[in-house]
Amino acid sequence: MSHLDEGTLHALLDGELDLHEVKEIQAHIGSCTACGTRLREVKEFHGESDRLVGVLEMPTRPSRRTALPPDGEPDLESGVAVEQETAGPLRPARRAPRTSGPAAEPPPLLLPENPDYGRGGLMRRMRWAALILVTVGAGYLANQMRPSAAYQFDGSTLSDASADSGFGPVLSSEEAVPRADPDLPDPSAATDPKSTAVPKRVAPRVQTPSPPRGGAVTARRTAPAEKAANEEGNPPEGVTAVGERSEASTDDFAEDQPDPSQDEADVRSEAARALRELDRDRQADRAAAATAALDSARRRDAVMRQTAAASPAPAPRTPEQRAQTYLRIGLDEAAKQLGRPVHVIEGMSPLFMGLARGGTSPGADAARPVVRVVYQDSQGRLIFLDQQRLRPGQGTASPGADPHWTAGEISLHLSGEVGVEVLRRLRTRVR
Amino acid sequence: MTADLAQLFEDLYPSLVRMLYRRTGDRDRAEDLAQETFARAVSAPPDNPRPWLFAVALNLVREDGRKSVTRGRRLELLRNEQDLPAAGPDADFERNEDVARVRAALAKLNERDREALLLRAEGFGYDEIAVTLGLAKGAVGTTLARARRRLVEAYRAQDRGNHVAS
Repeated sequence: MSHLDEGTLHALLDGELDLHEVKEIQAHIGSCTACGTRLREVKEFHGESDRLVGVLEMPTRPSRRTALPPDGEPDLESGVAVEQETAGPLRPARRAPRTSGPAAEPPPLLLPENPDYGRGGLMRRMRWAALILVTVGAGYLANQMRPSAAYQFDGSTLSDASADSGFGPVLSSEEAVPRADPDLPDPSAATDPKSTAVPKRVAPRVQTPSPPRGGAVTARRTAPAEKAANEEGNPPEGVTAVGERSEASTDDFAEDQPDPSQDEADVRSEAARALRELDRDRQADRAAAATAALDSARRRDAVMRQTAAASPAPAPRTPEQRAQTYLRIGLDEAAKQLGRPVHVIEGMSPLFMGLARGGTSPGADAARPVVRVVYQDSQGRLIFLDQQRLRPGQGTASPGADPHWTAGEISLHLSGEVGVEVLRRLRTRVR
Repeated sequence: MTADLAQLFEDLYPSLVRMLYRRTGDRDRAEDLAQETFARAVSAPPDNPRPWLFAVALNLVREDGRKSVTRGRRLELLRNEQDLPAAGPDADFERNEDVARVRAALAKLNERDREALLLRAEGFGYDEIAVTLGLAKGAVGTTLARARRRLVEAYRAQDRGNHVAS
């Protein structure tokens, strides 16, 4: 076998070679002084570079987005700061993704502080907004209808808006068009005697061309309209009830208005047009309100989706997090830390080795890291074999069934996510 | 963001930010770049997430570095964070000095060596390093060997320089 290159030696120290290669290399190093010397040199660079990179730990100030755990303290002895958990609850990225996502995906939204926002509160606001919008829009349209329904007669403009109803004509588009049968009286005129008073010389709003009784009038004059008529010089006595209209007044009307049916048709068509506009605007308002409600529902869904995605898992999930190791190390580094070969559980293959804070291992010196060999059983549960070199004067535990014991200069502790009985059995297999 | 990506964020964000911090020396920038990386993962979920995320993050560092140069901003690799752990004035000073020396040594490495070293420090195996950096797996050991040697030598050279100066 030729001399070993540095890359191979680093792969060896990093635990990246399989067992067969390791045995070959060990056999070669045992017989090659040059490679043995090189391996020692490589070990030195390997360990030193790991230490140097470990110096570049994150500062302990709270992150802009996340809070540090309260127990995150630097490990001054090893010069390696304890890993800080920087992952807080997932929040939406402060920047929108630069690339366009799926079209169905809403843009990132800031989560409101008020958890009720986007549920009942938003819907209530939208309902109020829609109600106000419809009310204002309807009022505006009703106001717009006044001049459109007015018509001119005999040089004076009279507002014929149906102010008595307050909201313009209660007539639908179909009602506003002339009836096919002019002989039929308007039921509204018969049921509301007060509204049947029409001024003299004023064409009724809806009047059959030749009423047999002179009472088939649907136009309703209101108090403001009458007032306007009075101001224009129409005497009050000129106002007669439709039911009391005489033939003379009918003649007068006929004289002043040569073609009343034409005017009536104009008024009706004008009113029908205004009604159609009103209907159209109402539909537009309803569509706008529905669209707004749809948008709010989509936003609420997006917020809920993000909230669901942001809810942090209660427990760390990676083996490193579960094992509370802050740095993975290789077999060689572990042996270097302990000053002797690492203890292992016979018959089990380690998942990985790492350094953990001494405080996380009962019985260990909290000021120094422990080497934690992590195993995983068939059910995915982790088992930790902690090892720490004893210092002179440091108390030693008596050997026995306790999960904490000493072997030579090494303090050991066996723990994990398995039961006590399993640990007790594994304890006998530690070599 | 799907549940998988949320879990990915939970698992890899600390490691990604730490690597970016070691690479850039600026925690805020590291967090921004990590956020940007995950934002890209949202729009194009990767099949092999860990190498993908770290490769994207390292690309962003390079892009960000080029933009910084064009804007006349200095790279902050050597920036000395003022908010390091408080362990008393002397310890603080010594630690800051040490961090600055390590950063200076790291800056002397070429891009690939530096990235390989930082990925290894995050627990990447040789396979993952090869995928992330686009290397052959057989070249990873050599790359790491060169990176480690240069880092230590650059660090020690500063020590020698300091001793000569004093």
